[in-house]
Order: sequence, then structure tokens, then C-alpha cells
Amino acid sequence: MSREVKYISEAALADLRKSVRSNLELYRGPGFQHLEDEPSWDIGLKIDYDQELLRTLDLTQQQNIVEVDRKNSLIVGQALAELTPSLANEELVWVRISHLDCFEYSKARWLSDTDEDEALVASIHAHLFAPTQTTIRDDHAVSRLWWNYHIARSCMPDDVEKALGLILKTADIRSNFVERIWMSSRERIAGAILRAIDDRAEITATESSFRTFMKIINRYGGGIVFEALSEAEADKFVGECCDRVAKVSEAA
Amino acid sequence: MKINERMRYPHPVLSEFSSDYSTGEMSADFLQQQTDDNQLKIISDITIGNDDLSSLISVQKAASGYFLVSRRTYFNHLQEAPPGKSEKFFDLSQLHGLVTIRPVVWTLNDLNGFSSPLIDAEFGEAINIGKGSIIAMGPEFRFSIDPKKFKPFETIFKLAVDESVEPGTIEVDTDDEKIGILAESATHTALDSMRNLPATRSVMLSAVYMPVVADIVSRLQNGDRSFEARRWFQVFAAKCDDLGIQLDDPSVSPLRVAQMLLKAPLRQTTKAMEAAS
Repeated sequence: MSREVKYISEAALADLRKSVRSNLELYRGPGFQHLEDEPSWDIGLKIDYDQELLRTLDLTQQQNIVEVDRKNSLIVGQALAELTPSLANEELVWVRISHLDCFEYSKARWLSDTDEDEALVASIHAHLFAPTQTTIRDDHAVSRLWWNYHIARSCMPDDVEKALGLILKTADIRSNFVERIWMSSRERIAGAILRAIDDRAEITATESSFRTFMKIINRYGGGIVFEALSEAEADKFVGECCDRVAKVSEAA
Repeated sequence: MKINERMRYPHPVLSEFSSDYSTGEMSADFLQQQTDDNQLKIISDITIGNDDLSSLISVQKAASGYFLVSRRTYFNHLQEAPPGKSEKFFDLSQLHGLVTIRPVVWTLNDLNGFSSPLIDAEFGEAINIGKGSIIAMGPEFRFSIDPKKFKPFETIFKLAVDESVEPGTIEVDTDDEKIGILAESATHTALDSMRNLPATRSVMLSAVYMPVVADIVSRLQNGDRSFEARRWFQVFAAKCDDLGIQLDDPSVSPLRVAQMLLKAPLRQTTKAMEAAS
């Protein structure tokens, strides 16, 4: 079912942030549904999202959390497909989502580990609020999933699901993709790197081999205008970098 | 992989940051306008500064243009734009915060045996340059796309009473959603009245706000990131982005930054004093 994406007012956000401690029982219990229609929580953005799809987020805490994150990134990316990258930088949007539509998910994923007040307050601030670019990208319960999807789509628009699986394969790969914008936001080189991660198991076999691979990509790729190359030429460049990783490993 | 002036290439690059060419440099002017239909119009005016490179562009062995990059949205686009004036449009919903534009010239094919009398002799007489190589680069242009930058700067400050502050002095509290300017009650009352009278409001700018802003800039330059999550900081950072101020650059005077952010407050103060006398 399509519903309008909404955000909360600055004043409501400031109030919510100040009241985390006094709201602990709401965080532990039923959540904030009672605030949904308050005027300060009900400011429309004139774009729609798929509420039913968003409610299918996987709440399980399997050992293989990467697989759950991959699946959930796909759900959030598709349910909030109309959200623009500019709006996806707004804390006011994400705080409403994590306190309403995705409250149960946020609670299960980030607030269920502890009963202790201090730790719970810290987790709420870390994962249900998103005051900086880094927290929006890496920490907020829902926005991090949206950005996973967005980055995967910019690297490999024809197969976002596959790209998500490759980017989220290890924390090290994700951090390289989210932090190196001159690589991850340029489809030609980012796509070639993902294809290499898929085809050449040796470059992600260990953390050290992947880091060597990224260093080599940076050293030899600095200053190349990959946008001028064909897909085959970008793959050839990345393939040569993979060969160099093998040589470094042999020498070591 | 970032393209910047500190990089060194195995082939000559025309740039004010390198001495690969004995003379000439690539330069560019950019004008940015937001249109009514949520587009960003960029008017570029690119000067190549070297006839041999201009010839490569005219025979389509190279192209000129610019990278337009918005870090916060993972937008990184190489826009082809010919030498001279050119207009291009970008979707504003793809941009947020600091936007940088880097003018470049790049090769469209392998260039074998390229030469120019202005190239430094260390590169030899005939140079081979691979396809997709940067062969000229201009200085970076920066601006900000952020609704927060339009918020009046004054809205991020609040006057507050703190009896522990020495009378006649102020202290700064950055640990809240607004920057607190703390004073004991008598001083606070005096500041409050000054703020509400047009004639004395501009005195406040020089005597109170300017030193407060300089103090905050100085703390940021010392690496204090404790207030990055505060709402005031987002407005503060957006204004700095818009003015091309790099908050983490300790070589820039905090006093100078404060005067830029507050639009030369002393000028407003002296004007108000002249009007009053």
C-alpha cells in the first residue's frame, strides 16, 4: 500500500532527543504510534513509499546477520524508491521512520541486546537518531540499509541484488565502498571492481589481500578517467590489478 | 582515486599546480543557479591555455569538461563541456551539501607520439599517453546545496543566564542544539536589551557574536568534533561550505572566518554608530 513519506519538525526532533531517558518504557514497549497523527510528526513530502513492503523487514537475529542486512537493504531500497539522495540526508525523515514504520525492526535489531538503561540510551541515540552524515550512512537502523541499496545501485544498476551481496560480503568491503566516493560513485570502475570480487576469490580471501587490492587500484587508477573507457577496458584494468595482488602475495 | 592537484602523472599535465608545461594553464569559471523546476544550472567558461591541447579537442582526440561531485549523495558525474561558455543542467534532488567541480581535459583514445614545444624536456620528445588519461586540470570550484544555509545565522545562537560567569564577560556553550552565549543575569539583561534595539544590535555583532564565532572556529581547527551532531553545527557547516571555508584548515585565521560568516560585522557597527552620531 502506498503512503506518503513524512518527516517530523525540528522542534519534535529536539524534544524526542531530549526525552530518550524519560521515554525508555516506550522504547522497551509499544513505541510511538500514538504520535503518528500529531501535526509536528505529520509533515508530508509529497512522495510515496510502500508501507506493506517496509513492514516485511526481517526481524530475526540470525548468526549470518550479513544475509539479513542484504535482504533488508533490498526491502528498504525498494520500499523507499522515491526518496531522493538529497532527502535521504535528512535526519527528520529517518527519525520518523525508525520511530514509527520500522520501530519493531529497529528495536529487534539494535535495542534487544540489553536491559540496562545506560546501554539502551546509548543504542537509541546511535541507531534511532541520525545527526551526522556518517551516522546516516553507517549507524541509523534504517537509513544505513537505504544507503547500502543506493550505493549498490550506483555501482551496478542492472543487478542491484548481486551488487548488494558483494558489497556486504565483509565489513571491510562495505567500508571501502562507502568511504571511497571516487570509486563507489563511478559506475564504470565500481562495477569492474565488483565483477572482480565476484570472479577472483583470491582478492577477498583475506582482509590483507583485499586491502592490498584496493591500494593497487588506487595507485594505478588515480587520475584515470574511467568514464572514457569501455566496460571491457575497465575490466582489463582491474584484472591487471588483481594480477599485481597475486605478485605481491607471492613476494611476501 | 580522487582526482586532485597533488597527484603526479607519468605524462605531462597542464595545470597551475605542475611545471610539466613551461607556460600556460587550464582555467575555468563557473556560475551556478537553481531553477524553478528543481534543477541546478551550471554555466561553465573553460579556457584550455595551450594550443596543442586545444587542437586535440578540436579533432576529438581529447575532450574537456568537469567532474561535478556531491559526496553526501554519492553523486560523481563527468560532464563533457566544450572550451568557452556552455550551460548544463543537473537534478538538484541528487545533490546535498558541499558540491565540488573540477575542470579537466582527458584523452579519448591512446595518444602516441604526442609533443608540444612547451612540455618539459624530462618527458622526451614524443610521448605516449593512454586512453582516459587526464592531460589538463583546472582549480576546484566549491559551493553548497543545502537548505540549511538559508537559515538566518542568528537563529543558531541563544542568550542564556549562567550566574557562574564573571560579570561583564561571556562564555560559550556548544553542548546544545543552539550555541549558548552565557552571562550572569545583569550582563544577560544588558545584552538582551542591546539585541532588541536596532542601534545597538550591530554593536552586538562585533562585540559578542564575532568573538564567539572565532572561538568556535578555533576549536574546530583544533580537531574538536564533539558538536558535529548538534543542529547549530549543521547550519554553521553549510554556511562555511557555501563560502568555500574549510573548517579543518588551521592555516586560516579564525578571526577572518568569523568576519566572513558574519559579513564584516565591524562595517555594520561603524555604519550604525555614524548614523547614531
